[in-house]
Amino acid sequence: MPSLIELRDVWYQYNPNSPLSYWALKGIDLKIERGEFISIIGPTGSGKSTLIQHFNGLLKPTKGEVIVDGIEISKTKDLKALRKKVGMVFQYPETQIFSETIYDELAFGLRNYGYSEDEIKERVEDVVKKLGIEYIPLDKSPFLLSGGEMRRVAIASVLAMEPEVFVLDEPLANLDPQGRRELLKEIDYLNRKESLTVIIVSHDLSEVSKYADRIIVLFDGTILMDGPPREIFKNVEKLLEISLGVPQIVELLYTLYKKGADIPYNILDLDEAVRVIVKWRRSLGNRDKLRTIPTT
Amino acid sequence: MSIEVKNLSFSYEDNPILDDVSFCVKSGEFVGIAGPNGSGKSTLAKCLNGIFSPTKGEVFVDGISVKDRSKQWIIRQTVGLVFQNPDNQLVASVVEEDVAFGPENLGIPPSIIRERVQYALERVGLINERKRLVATLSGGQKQRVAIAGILAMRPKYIVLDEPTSMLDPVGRKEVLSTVLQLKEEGVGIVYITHHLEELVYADKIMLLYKGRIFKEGSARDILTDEDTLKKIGLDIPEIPALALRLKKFDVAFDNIPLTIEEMVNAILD
Ligand SMILES: Nc1ncnc2c1ncn2[C@@H]1O[C@H](COP(=O)(O)OP(=O)(O)OP(=O)(O)O)[C@@H](O)[C@H]1O
Ligand SMILES: Nc1ncnc2c1ncn2[C@@H]1O[C@H](COP(=O)(O)OP(=O)(O)OP(=O)(O)O)[C@@H](O)[C@H]1O
Ligand SMILES: [Mg+2]
Ligand SMILES: [Mg+2]
Repeated sequence: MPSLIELRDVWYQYNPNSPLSYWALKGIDLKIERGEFISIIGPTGSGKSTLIQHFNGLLKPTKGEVIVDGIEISKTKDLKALRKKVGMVFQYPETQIFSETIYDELAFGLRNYGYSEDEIKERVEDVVKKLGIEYIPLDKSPFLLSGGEMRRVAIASVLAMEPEVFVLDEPLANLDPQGRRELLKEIDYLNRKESLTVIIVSHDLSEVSKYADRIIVLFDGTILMDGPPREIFKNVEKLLEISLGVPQIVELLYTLYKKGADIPYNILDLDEAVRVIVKWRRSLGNRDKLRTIPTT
Repeated sequence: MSIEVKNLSFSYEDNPILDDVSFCVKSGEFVGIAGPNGSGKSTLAKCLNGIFSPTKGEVFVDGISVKDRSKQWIIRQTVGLVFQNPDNQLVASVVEEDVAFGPENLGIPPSIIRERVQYALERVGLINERKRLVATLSGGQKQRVAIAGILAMRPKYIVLDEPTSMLDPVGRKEVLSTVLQLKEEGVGIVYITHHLEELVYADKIMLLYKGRIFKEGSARDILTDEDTLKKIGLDIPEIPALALRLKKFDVAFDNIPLTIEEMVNAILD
């Protein structure tokens, strides 16, 4: 079966033929399968937002091919069908919000695709609950919300469309810690139960790595690494070198490792960190810890 | 010299948002603010430089009430605010013009403005992008320009509303070290964030919940108080969280560590 999304040697240039021209993507080859949960990370300006806008035809490659569900986006005339399939939440919610009330904002896409008002109402109520914004009156203007509330509305409006592919650009920014966790849990649920394909751009590695099957590291318009979180976290030095970090607990274990502790550091969550440290300390027994850890 | 907030209440029309908030930010002090979405952090930030005037209570900036409309000018230049969304702050079309906008408004001579723009853009790592159009920048680049714009004004107090939400991890560290350096230079800092590990060097942290101060204390008090943080929808940072769990396995700590360095020292001790 062909991949859900396939990019073949994709190059993208902003403002071609002008002094402001800029190559933001330089030869991207990428395959994304149905049901994957992918996180895209990369330093500021590395091309993450540019890349994902190719997935629903908002941007078209300057060179190369983007094929989504068998359709080559540069050739298709039916972008509407593509956009229903691939739901996208932008990096700044303000750029996507325009309705006068929260309700209208959440209903906009559904109305556009001809859903009945009853069904719309049902879906709106559902996503409002999922995003934890039921306490806000739905007739309020979405522009009079706090930053985190606005982001929740933006995410809810795309979720209401029940896309097959859910692409989110920094969805965790501005969310409070519990909100971050709940959103990821909800998306993870949809990913597992309804095989929603998920693509999340995020700087919040410690959160997304708990759920992502695969992390793609972009650097200067190219793919630098692509693999499961545990493989990616083996490259601590390289990640730090290119302005990315690793979760604090990974960095901690790596620091201990460099000081001579015989432990793995490519871990995914707190429980694992606790296990690694406790096991290591026990293995040292009553020996002087400093003997096994050469001072640097 | 300080920003003094006294029994501040604020309502949007009939909606009460802030309720009887009092605290103080001295020169050279780093005050961290955290709280769930909608708790009133950005509203509070806008009360500190007079964009909003208290419905009840007072905010004094070096003794001047923000309610005194004739003093708006001096208050805005004393308290610089980095907005939560950079688009609400960026005004000029070219990066360096945007950063120069604030100091120009203060009537500062062009030669000094040039120096300050240079300094600010270097601090945020955008010196090579100075001629770029703001509209063509990436999300994180825009956030850096917004920070540079306030740095260039050299205010006595800086209020930063989630300044690192769009930055990569190293960008976050750079902003924090800039903030700490400003603090050393005597600038009073108010730092709002959802990433509580950024507040380990704060002199004091205030937790805001439903428009009220829910708890206030030293960084160590607040960042190790898992129950309180949970109760209001926040999370304890990873390092203290790990320490609290290790304690159950007989790893002893004199103080619950907040940073990787403290943790390494405690474990290897
Ligand atoms: N202009 C406005 N008019 C009416 N209500 C508003 C306005 N701005 C904000 N609010 C409401 O006031 C409350 C506090 O908003 P504020 O922006 O201060 O929250 P916050 O703590 O900064 O949240 P976040 O973490 O999401 O940025 C929210 O519930 C919001 O909906
Ligand atoms: N309209 C444009 N014109 C010219 N250059 C642009 C334009 N939009 C983006 N760029 C440049 O292309 C590069 C990639 O931008 P992009 O927005 O994809 O980065 P990003 O990885 O999403 O970064 P961030 O983490 O800061 O959001 C950046 O260097 C940016 O300055
Ligand atoms: Mg981006
Ligand atoms: Mg806010």
